[in-house]
Amino acid sequence: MTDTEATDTQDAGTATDGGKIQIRLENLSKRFPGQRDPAVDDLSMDIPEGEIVIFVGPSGCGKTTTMKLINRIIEPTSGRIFLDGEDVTKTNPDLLRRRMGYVIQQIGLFPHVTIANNIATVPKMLGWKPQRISERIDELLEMVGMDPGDYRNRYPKELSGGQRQRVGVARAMSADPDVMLMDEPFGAIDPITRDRLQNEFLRLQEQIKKTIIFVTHDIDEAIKMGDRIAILREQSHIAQFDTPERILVNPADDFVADFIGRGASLKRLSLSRVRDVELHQWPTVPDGASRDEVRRVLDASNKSAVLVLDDQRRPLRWVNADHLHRTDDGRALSEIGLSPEAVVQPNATLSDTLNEMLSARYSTAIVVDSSHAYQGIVDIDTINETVRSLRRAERTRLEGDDLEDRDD
Amino acid sequence: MSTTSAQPQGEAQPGTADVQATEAGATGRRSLGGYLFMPVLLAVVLLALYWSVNGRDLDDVEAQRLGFDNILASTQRHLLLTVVSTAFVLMIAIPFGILLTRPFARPITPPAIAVFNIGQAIPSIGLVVLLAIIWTIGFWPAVVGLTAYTTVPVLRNTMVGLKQVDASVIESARGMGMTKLAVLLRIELPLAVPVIMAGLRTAMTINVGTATLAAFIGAGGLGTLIVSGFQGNRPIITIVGAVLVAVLALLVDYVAGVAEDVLRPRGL
Repeated sequence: MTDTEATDTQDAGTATDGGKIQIRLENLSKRFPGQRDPAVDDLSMDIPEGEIVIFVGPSGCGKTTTMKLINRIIEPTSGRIFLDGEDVTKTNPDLLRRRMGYVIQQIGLFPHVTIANNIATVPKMLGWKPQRISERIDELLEMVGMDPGDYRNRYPKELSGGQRQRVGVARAMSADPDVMLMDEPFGAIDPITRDRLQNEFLRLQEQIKKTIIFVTHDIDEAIKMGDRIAILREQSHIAQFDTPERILVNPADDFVADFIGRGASLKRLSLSRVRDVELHQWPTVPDGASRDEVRRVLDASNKSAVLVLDDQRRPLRWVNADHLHRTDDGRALSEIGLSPEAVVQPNATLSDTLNEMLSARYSTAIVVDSSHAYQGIVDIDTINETVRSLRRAERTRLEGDDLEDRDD
Repeated sequence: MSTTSAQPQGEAQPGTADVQATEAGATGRRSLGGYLFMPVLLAVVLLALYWSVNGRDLDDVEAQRLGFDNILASTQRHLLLTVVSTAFVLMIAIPFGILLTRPFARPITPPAIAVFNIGQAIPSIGLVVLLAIIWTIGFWPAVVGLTAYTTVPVLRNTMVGLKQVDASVIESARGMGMTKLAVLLRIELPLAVPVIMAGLRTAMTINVGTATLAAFIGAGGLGTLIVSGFQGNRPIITIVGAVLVAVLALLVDYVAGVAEDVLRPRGL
């Protein structure tokens, strides 16, 4: 069971670095009736516990079929599936599915059932007590950032697309499954909401540490969300199964390199987070500061504006000398100047941060902690420098890998 | 017609409180005025009929035929024909509709629908008379004829209702480990109810009209008034029979419409 090398598994399918294996697929194939070629052909792979594993590939490569083989929505033609060491290829599929969360792109909330009852579906089937189910619903709604009192008794059509998506995730987690299967869960959502939901989901995953299989056709989403990425080509053949860093730095072949596309080092900005770079400091003043104080701070720094913070050190306004001059009528600092637009948290990716900066009016992003208190700033130079050092690291690592290859 | 929706919520009539409270869930439900319109109209028609018949000199035959006892008995008989045949329709159409939408039944679906279509394609008068000739006269052949005639709309609506359920809803239900039976009972059928009910409503309304033909094979009902009015050259009897059938059809349609509103799952 644990002896991976004994099977004729490809190297590409075993990238677990010795962690505990949650799901093992062995020589899995699916041949649909009336089709000459199998949709999934002899796929073997180990999925480590507590990680997000992304299946990504061009459309028609069999990635969704492969995911559906795991909870046997599609029954495999041959091969075996192990969940937590247990062979589940022939067990009761309904009971198997109750152990796995399942989120699809269209979400598929039950339209005639309240949000609470949608979430309660699996716990009810598992025979939980009503009290426990009710508490679980509240807990999950809070976890996905929705007020239980407000949303429990609503119907799906009364929610926005993003809210439905959250309920879909909450519903999939209802019975606290170890494994979640997600098929393009953010695919049908507008880009801004998608970005936010992705970030929320990553934050959530840091707490819940589920084993997640996540299907997407979007390599950028794969790089952002994945602990490991399986790049699949036709018939679900694994082109490369590795961490996003290693795939970006060292694509296994031309297919992978093509699929990643150009600008790999730019993509790697999605892998670096704000907390990984050195924050710069910016002159700040408290909300109640007098105008003279502000002018003194401004003069003492080489910056053109100061950042006004409230009593809990949350960023309030940008104020420059011009603002002070134009509004010299005793208005509070919080009422003049510009509102801070690009505000990010330490777990934001540099790619998101860059996006925020470009859409704001100044090339500086304010970094705040989880209680929104000011931490420092990231400016365009920081990002520039990161890109340059990534590129340097890439080159060194490439040379190192070449040596390793020769060792094989 | 819709007067209540303009009122502030607190003043809404008790009957519509629920409609007001769940604005989004209220689509398709009517205001109180909407619910009252049809019964009031029908009552006015019946009163006008009563008033105009009462003001005439009736001969013995007319007086007997149009007497309260005879009309009540005919109406009851008419309703019984409708209700019994509708019950048979439900017992046949809904199970077959479910069966024919299951994936394993796909190969037999077209021939099965063709068989059901025969019932509707034959003119009902022909079917009823044919049954009377080859079987017997009276209540039961009339019920069989009516059932054959209205099974198709309910069957077709059951199938359409089940097929229009969003495939992603079914997939997510199956993906969460609901059994096929649970998906059918708790997801597919509730979501198909509005369409099935619409078919049933059509079927019942058609049945009230078609049940008139039962008079030709001695099954009774309001058709008897119409036929005997023709035969005895007493138009007043025919008119009363015809108006009563029309009122009954509209009333059945109205009641079925209310049932549709009540049975439609919330959230749709």
